[in-house]
Amino acid sequence: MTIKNQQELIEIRTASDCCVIVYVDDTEIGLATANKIIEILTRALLGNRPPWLCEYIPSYTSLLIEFSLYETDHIAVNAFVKKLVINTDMEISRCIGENVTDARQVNRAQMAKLSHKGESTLSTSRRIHRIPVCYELTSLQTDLAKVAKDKNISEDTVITLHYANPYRVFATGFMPGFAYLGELPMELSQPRLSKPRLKVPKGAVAIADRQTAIYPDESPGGWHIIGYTPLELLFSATDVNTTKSRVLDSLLKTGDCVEFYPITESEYINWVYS
Amino acid sequence: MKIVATGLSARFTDLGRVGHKHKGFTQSGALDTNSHLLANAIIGVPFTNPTIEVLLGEFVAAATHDTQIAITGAQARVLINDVPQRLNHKIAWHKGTTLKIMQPVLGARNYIACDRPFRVKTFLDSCCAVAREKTGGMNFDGKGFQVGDHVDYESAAVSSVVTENASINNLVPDNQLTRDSAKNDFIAHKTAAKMQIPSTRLAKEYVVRIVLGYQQTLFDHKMKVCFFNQRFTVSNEASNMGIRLTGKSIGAVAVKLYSEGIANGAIQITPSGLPIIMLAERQTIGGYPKIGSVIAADLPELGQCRPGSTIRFEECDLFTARQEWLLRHIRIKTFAQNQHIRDEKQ
Repeated sequence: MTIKNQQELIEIRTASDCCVIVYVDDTEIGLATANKIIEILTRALLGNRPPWLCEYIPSYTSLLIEFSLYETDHIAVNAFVKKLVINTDMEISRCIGENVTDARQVNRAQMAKLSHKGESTLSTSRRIHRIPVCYELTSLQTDLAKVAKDKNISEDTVITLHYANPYRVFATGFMPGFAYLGELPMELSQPRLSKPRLKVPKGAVAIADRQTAIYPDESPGGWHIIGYTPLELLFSATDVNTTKSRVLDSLLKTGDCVEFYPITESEYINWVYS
Repeated sequence: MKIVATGLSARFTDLGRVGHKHKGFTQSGALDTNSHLLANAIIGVPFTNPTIEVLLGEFVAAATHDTQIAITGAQARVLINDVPQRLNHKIAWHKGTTLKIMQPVLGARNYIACDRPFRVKTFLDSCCAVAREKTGGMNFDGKGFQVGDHVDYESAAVSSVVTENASINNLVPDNQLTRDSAKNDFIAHKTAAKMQIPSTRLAKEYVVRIVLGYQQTLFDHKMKVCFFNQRFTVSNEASNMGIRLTGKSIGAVAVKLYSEGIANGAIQITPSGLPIIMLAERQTIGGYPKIGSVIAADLPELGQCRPGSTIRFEECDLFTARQEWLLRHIRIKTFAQNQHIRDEKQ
């Protein structure tokens, strides 16, 4: 397998007058490696945090960098990012090299996993979450039938395909507690709704492209809903000492592993009301 | 003050949260930042002081203290005990009287600044309430003012101490207004006398400049022609999160995208071929293809768009964009620095 030269893998583009976005091409190296490279670049950016840096948003294969227009301009920021890529060259090539062998190991692990279903064979230090999903809930809106029809498979197949394999948290964002999980089996992949819903109910498990996610709270959204989880994804706490501050934390963090398992409608209802 | 009527929505606002987007928390903050800054500049308080953002009137409040206020933004009738008041000027608001901001004729949002800083509660160092997240606000539930709410004030002394953070993009550096430097300056006097109030431009049609970016190369010539050569109309789905536009579809790009960070003002093109402009309360990441982003200098005008307003896009280069942003801020800073000269003349 020949791998593109790193300079070609990484592309810097304009996002707005005060933001640049760095993309890592995942077509040859795979999404997991691309996501790790984003992690490396983010770490490098923060390790030598420039004074003009306002915000950074790492995601699947991209890193958005917002700078202060008062402190610098896009030319200087572009140059800085190019230098960042050069400085992390060693680390990135190591990451690409590791992952070529890694991918083979994961495939073997996944095959082993399928043979004794239900048991976790992942021996990494990543946090593993098992999340219950009710795919048959009729009281709330669902696109399950539509997804099955569009993909020309049965509803049961959609469900089985969805919970069969574990997912990696590739990004967090969109709203607090929202984690983007990948990769969804190719058989379920389809574009977002052409017109996003104004209200997606809390706990909705949805799919779009090769991603799946859970809505931690009611929100607008353009994904296809296929089930609901009774699990709370967001923990909130009010600091009792100063009523002026509040903390929120998310259950799912970038790099975590998520496994779904199906529950019945009555189990869902019991969970919600217990 | 006591809130008697909130209108469509009224709430505290400031320049929003900084440095929390990677955790999924939205930016939030005043949509028309220019009017927020101007209101504080007129009063002569730091730019970071919270103001009240009133959406499309009709806002009514009763004074519980003697204060001085300034109201900026949309063109709306302002009354105190039924006596008309001027926008963009200092207004004395006495205890026991009632302030009314009527529905605006032009524009959408009004900003109220006060010489006594409002007592607010902060979440992620901002007083902003975000309904979608159910975060921030006086009860940390994302809600704005409710009828009957009491707005308290900090003791006046607190206002002048502001921590400086020059690396913040949407903040004007030099929060401390250097009043003395210009005090005896003849030129400053002349400038102040001639200087127009740097208020946000209000119109039925807005020409908004954008820089091309993100997936812009995926949009072919025909699509760009269609995008730049039409008037889009602001739909009813317009909020602090974003503005959905209606018009002639520019066509969709068939591409599978991973969700990526969304810049302020980014223009997403939905599969139906119509743009959505992402604003202060946008989600942090999303996966619709984007053609580019509205330049920072033109974002305040979008805060004054209302359903039915029309928008035309114009292309802009990165150098002009930065220059326009710097000019806009120099104008408002100079205005703030010369405020005491205008005060003397009154």
